[in-house]
Amino acid sequence: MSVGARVALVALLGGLLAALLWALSHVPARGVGLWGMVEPRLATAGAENAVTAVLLNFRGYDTLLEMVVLLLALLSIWSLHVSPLVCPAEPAGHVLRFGASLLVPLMIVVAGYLLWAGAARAGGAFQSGAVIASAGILLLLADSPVLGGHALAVRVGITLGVVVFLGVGLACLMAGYRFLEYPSGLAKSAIILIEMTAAVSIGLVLAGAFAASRRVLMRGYGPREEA
Amino acid sequence: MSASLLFDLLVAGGLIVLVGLLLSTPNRFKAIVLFICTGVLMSLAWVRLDAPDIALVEAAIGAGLTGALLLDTLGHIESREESSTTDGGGAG
Repeated sequence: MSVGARVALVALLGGLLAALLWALSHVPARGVGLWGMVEPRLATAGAENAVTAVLLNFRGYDTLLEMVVLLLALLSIWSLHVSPLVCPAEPAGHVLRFGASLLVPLMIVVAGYLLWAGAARAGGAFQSGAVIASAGILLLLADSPVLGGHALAVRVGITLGVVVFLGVGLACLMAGYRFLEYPSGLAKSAIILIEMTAAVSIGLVLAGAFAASRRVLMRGYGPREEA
Repeated sequence: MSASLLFDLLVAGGLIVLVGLLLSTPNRFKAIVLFICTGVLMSLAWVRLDAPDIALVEAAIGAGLTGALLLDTLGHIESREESSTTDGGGAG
């Protein structure tokens, strides 16, 4: 890049920085965003945490689409049939296996807490699913199978979140409301049901994306061939 | 200068320094480790911005899951480069 072009680029970026700093200095100290619209309806939304209420009730359709996107991404990764199969070069040592056996149950409990706390505090389905996925990855790295031998368990676990979410939406339709418009009083139960299945599904999808193949997700990395 | 302002400046400055190091290093492994550190610091920034939900997801997925996926990919790339240099011989 010539000197003139570099100088012009630096001037442009400097101008952009100045504009951003000016805009930052005019941002109000407390965000004014959507709180005014969300707060009056929070009591009937089924969750006290505003983020959970928005994610799973007011904008539930977006969350449904996000989960479909995750599922599609997983199917695309699995259909690549990565070869040769990526796996750690050596079998897991004792420390890793012992540490995993201590940590994974703790992580499941933490995931359950995050799921339940999402109603009133920070937490929710995605956070809980992310912790479950991390537990799955730790299991895989410690040379342990994640789901065991049944292919049906994999299929059901991965699609359960989307299916239940769609099912709740369709049930609302059949009860006479709009798609995903929870009947009053049932919002909390609907959110809990959706969140529980979504957390499990998200965890399995993300762990499956790391495993890069259905066989590895079910049975672990298995014996290594000598290089 | 209050303690919270100092903390915010440290987090912001640390982010910029980490990203500068991350983008300028030629070593891929070092870049991935710096990326994971940036994710952890970013999740602190989200907490300071009063967004604990995003902080949780950033720590778990941005730092943890993406870091693990990147390291996996790095191993795959390096093993493929190794096998191609041993197969290709002098052709390089």
